[in-house]
Amino acid sequence: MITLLPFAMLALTGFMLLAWFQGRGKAVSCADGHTSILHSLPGYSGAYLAIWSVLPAFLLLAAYGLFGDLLLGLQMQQKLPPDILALAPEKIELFLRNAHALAFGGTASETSPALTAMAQTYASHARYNQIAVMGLALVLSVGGFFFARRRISKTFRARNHVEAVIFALLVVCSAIAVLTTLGIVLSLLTESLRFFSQINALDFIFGLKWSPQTALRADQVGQSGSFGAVPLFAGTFLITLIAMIVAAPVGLFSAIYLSEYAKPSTRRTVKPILEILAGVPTVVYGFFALLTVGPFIRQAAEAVGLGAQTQSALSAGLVMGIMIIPFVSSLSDDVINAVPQALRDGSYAMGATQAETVRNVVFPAALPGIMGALLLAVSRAIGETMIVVMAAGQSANLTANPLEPVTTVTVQIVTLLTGDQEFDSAKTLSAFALGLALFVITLGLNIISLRVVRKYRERYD
Amino acid sequence: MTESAARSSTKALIAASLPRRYRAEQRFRLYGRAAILLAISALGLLLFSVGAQGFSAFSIFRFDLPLHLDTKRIDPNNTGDPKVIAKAPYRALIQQALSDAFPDVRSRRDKRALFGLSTGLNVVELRKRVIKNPALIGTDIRFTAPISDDIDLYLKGKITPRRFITGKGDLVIQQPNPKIITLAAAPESLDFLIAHIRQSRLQQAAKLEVQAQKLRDGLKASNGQVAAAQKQKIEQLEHKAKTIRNAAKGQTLGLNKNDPSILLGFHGGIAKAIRVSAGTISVKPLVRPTSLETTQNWQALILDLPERARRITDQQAAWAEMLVDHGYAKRRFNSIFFTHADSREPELAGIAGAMVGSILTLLATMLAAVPIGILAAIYLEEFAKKNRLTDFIEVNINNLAAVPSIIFGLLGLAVFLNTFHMPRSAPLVGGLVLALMTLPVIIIASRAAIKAVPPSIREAALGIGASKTQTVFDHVLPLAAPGILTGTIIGLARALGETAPLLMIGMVAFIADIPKSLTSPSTAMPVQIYLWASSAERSWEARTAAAIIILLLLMIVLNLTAVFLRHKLERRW
Repeated sequence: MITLLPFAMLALTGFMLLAWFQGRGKAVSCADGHTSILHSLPGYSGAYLAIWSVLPAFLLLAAYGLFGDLLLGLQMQQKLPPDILALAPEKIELFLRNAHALAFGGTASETSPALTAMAQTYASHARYNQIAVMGLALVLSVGGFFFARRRISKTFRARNHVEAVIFALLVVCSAIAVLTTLGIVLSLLTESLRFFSQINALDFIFGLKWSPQTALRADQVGQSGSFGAVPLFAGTFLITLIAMIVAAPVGLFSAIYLSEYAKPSTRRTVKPILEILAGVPTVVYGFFALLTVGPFIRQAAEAVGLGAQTQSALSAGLVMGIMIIPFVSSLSDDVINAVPQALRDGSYAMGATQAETVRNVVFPAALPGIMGALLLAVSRAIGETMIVVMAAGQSANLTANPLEPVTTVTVQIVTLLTGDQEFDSAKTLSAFALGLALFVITLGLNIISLRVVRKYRERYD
Repeated sequence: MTESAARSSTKALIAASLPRRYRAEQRFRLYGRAAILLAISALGLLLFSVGAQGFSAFSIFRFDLPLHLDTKRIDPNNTGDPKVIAKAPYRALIQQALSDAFPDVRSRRDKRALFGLSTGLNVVELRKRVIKNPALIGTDIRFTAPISDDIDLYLKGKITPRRFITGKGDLVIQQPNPKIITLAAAPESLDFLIAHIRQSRLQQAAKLEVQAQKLRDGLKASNGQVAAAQKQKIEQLEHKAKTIRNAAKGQTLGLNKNDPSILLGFHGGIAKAIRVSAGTISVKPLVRPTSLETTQNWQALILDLPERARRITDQQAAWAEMLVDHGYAKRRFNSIFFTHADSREPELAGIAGAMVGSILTLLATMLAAVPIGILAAIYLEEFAKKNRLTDFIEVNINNLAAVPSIIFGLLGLAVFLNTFHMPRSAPLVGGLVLALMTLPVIIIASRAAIKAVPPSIREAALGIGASKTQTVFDHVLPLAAPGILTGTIIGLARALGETAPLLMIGMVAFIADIPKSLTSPSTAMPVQIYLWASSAERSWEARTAAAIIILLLLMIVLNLTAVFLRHKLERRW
């Protein structure tokens, strides 16, 4: 609907260039060409004028772009005809949505004279809003231009003003990281709270049955969904365990070999090769698990007389283990390298072999750091999505048999949120509750492991 | 005296323990080597399996059939009106071309199977071609659409091994009955076929016997009723195995649907063997031979997988062989894969749509994440005072770097789609989500690069009167640029391979058009791989693997660029 916005932005860019040259020119003419007597370089005067002419208008337009629809919606709620206002809230929402669709070329689910009238109001208000905002932007732009142009003089401290704006920009940019976290927490919390207002939180945490099909209408039978998340966490745990059984020894031993035994040239070639494992997209691992590892495990299991399916916890876990080998190995490598050489030398002086030194001196000294690395790898495995989506299966089995398909938290989030969604149903909202659980668990693991690793580094620094 | 005795006994103890300790040392070293070898071979296996599966998708069998664009059927009144041309019966024209290639196909069922060699969607391409160039009407053109995916797989040998055996000696037609032709050939030339069928039957029987034995082993554990039913099943299996064993013994072998297929090619036709004995072979023609003279020029084609167990019939296989023999189908580079978007038909599906989607998404990611990331890094490294707030921001960024990517998808869904009502499935939204995800990576890399610039640079700039901002932007930033660039490229490469967050914001839809703008619905390459990998048909496998190869190549190019830039531009202070 915001059709004029790109043109307005283009016009602003043009105006910005114009203002820059104007400001620069004004500064130069103030000094009669002797720019060295100015407080700031002429370019700063130009930038100052450009900022004043464009920034306020730009902020206004950006705000309108983001919140224009919301504003329009609020206006429309007040323009509703009285007979519609008397209806149920969801009917009102449907009415508004249809009117919006009619006004802006969408597909409405029904039409009526009231709707057509409403659509016209909608369209005209949208037009008024847009014109008003554009006008305001123009006023701000021109007003800012003349205000700032008057202030430019020989002694004007243009640079300080410009730098203040740059500083503000820097602060805003670094705040975005915080805003992201805040956004994650808030969006997960609000949706989860809505979920827990429908489903008991204890049932969610301790329930043993997961089948998120809810009844669409109150009178339907047999489809009361149950949201017991235990099978999901059990599946996640099982797969993570298998992955760690693969990754921890392999990663640790490669790290020990690379840092204690390998020649520098071997290290230089092997380390990047191991790191490739971390760079391969997870969807590729999923494909590998689904088409190579899964069938292989099934055949192997059948050969020894066990029933197995292509999708199993074992194949997902094995492949995920391969994926996190480099996380374990490169972090442990750093940690082992940080152990002071004096400790090793002391051990050798006592007559210990290299392996004994590693086992009895280096490893215990590096243990906290290695634990941190392993925790980070666990958090990685818990949050991994694509491998399990493709290779672990969808059925919420509560089982410890690695040959059976299991499902995980991330798999269920994906299943619940792809495909047709019912807005606001417990089924859709449960994905956010699962997301919240996932976020809290991984965040906890990350904080602990980062702290452990940092403490450990400080010990030998 | 005692002391020296103790010392010598300790020495002896140590000496005695040494071999064990050295063995332990060797073992330990071996574990390390084995671990590295395991990791590297896992990577090798991964790349090899993807490569082996994907390689075949880069070529495809395409028709090369003469097709007459009949004026009478397309535009009888010579109007030249695109509307008239668009309505012409192109399906019938394609079917006519196929019928002309195999004139002896008569029955409706056979015809339908024959027309199945070309997917219905090929009509669209042909129509486009004619509308674009109406001068073609009335002329003969070459119909070059891709052949149906099952046939393509068959011709690539992916459905069953195809073994050709050149016939020795004369092949004499004894009974030219139209339904079943009886042929005579030197016994030694048929011996191989007979042996092959026998062997396959014996294997079949052995398999059934193993199955029965397994059940028998399990029988001891089960009880009563179950056991009775099991026993019956075992007897059935054993009886069946016995029958098959007996059938392998006879002098004359009648072939059934569980046997490997044997196709005989002679005189430009193909016939399927239904009975073989030493000296004679009875065949049912699938594509009628042009003559029934005695010939020395014949061959047998053995398809090991029995007809019942595969997706294409012997008839279809015969047509496919004929098409290739006559030059009506040729193996070509699969350009469709690089120029088309997704399709329901594997032979018409391509990666171009997803590739453009990925590029647009990455563009949005870059535009959002790079400036914000660099500016944030500058603030944190150069301006921020060490206090609680900046500590908090720092911890925050480190934690964000380790948040599972799917959580960012949930954030995008809740904020960008549900709150700000941005369009679903749009590269813009996908790019923003990935930008939030890549931001910590870029910030951390940029901070490291900025930190590496020595303080003397700053001091010199400040010393000649530059302001703090001027110092940072005019002196520190240019020197840190190579490091920032490298970190950014690596971050973007990771974003290119990310799938999960894009699933959350609806970039998983089936989209058959190449996206045109940042807001048009699209997918991305990893998502396309996921979609294809979850499709059931066999021919998607190779295409999925091929898409993976392209994705990996792109990522390798990005990463190598980063490495190259690091070597070329980075300064050591």
